[in-house]
Amino acid sequence: MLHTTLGSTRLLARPGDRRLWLLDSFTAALWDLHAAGWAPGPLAELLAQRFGLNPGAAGDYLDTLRAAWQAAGLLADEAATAGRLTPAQALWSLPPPDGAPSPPGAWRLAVADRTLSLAITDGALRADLAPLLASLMVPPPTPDQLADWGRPSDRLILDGAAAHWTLTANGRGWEAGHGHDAALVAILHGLTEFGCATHERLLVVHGAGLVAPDGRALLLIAPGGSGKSTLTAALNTASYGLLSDDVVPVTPAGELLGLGLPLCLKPGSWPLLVGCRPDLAQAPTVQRLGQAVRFLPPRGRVAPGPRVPARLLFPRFRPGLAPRRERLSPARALQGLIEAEAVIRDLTQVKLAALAHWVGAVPAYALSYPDLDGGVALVRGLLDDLDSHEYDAHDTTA
Amino acid sequence: MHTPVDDTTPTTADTAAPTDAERRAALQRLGALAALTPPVVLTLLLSPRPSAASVGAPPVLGP
Repeated sequence: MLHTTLGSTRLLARPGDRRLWLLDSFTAALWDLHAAGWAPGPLAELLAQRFGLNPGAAGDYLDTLRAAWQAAGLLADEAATAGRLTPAQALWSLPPPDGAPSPPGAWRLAVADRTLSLAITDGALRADLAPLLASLMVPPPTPDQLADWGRPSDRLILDGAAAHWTLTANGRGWEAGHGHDAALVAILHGLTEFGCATHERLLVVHGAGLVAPDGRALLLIAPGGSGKSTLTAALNTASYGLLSDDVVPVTPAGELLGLGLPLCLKPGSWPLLVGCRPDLAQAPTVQRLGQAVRFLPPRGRVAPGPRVPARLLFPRFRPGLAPRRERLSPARALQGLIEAEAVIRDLTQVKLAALAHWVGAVPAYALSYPDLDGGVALVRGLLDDLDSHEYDAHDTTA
Repeated sequence: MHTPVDDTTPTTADTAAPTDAERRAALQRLGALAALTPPVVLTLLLSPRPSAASVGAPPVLGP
């Protein structure tokens, strides 16, 4: 069993298991005694002595406790089938081709801490992607620079025409499909996967990373459809540099990496952003997984990573209600990260401890805002003061 | 802090009564807790998605 502390709670996990357990301090103390080998009888005597209980009441309490552990899966000897994480092939882990020249006309892109070569044979698709990826493009290396690079560039090639295309990643066929929009989405997903390199990270957050004008980094965390990208676009327009939208890789040292890929905006955000991003009206509508979206390049200079976040923010669009912020305990912040589908792979004792340390070290807030101006003002306000709203250190509930 | 072991891992203490020293240490640990409170165990489920993108990994065509 992997274990660490998170605020006033205990965090437990098993390698290869989807489940994490948070125990309040009392339950954690009794778990420790149980794990150290205390049988129910002596443990009941101990409880009776400490709290002045009769033996029956102490036994009943331990029965309840054990039932709670059982229901949570803590007493199972291995990961339940439904809870087991299956290993997955990762696009980014394919070894890059060594020595072979990039196809003529390939773009060289800096995505997170990787450099990729992207070649697209379809002219129309290439023209549509060029403005979206312009901020990531870097010049080809000079011969003396090549000698310093230990790893050749990863390579994505979209071959064929829009009517029928094939995406090759590092020399291996990865995806094939039909249509302009599917090809565009496949390329953006491929770049995301390479940049995220999930197994190398502490975690990959479903959220957005931004850098405030004063240089401090923020991580906005929310499930899909919560308005996170809309608020991110508004903050980006208000001089917050965009590290990454949709997914943010976090290094083992707890730093945010910037993918710098375009903002992906759904129809609900289009009228809200018309004032601050007039170019949204001219952006082509793309079908992405059955849903209409528009991609916009980040405004201003793409913020370079890595950055340790100054705040973890959990925004929620609540029309009609007053803007509100609430400090969250580390346990609630972790819960929010996981509910927003953070990807955490290959959990080890070191990684679990690093995760708890990271979540515990960065102040976290839930924000609810009725409109974009209110959301931007809340974020600004959080950076302007040190905030005194303390969380309930004993609360592990949502 | 000692290292918790898995429930199924047998320890010598499973079959032996706790020593006085163990009992004193355990009482000291419980002494820090103000009252007997209902157990709180929250289970969080990590995302099963293998991919960092918003959707699952695309189909693999093969080598």
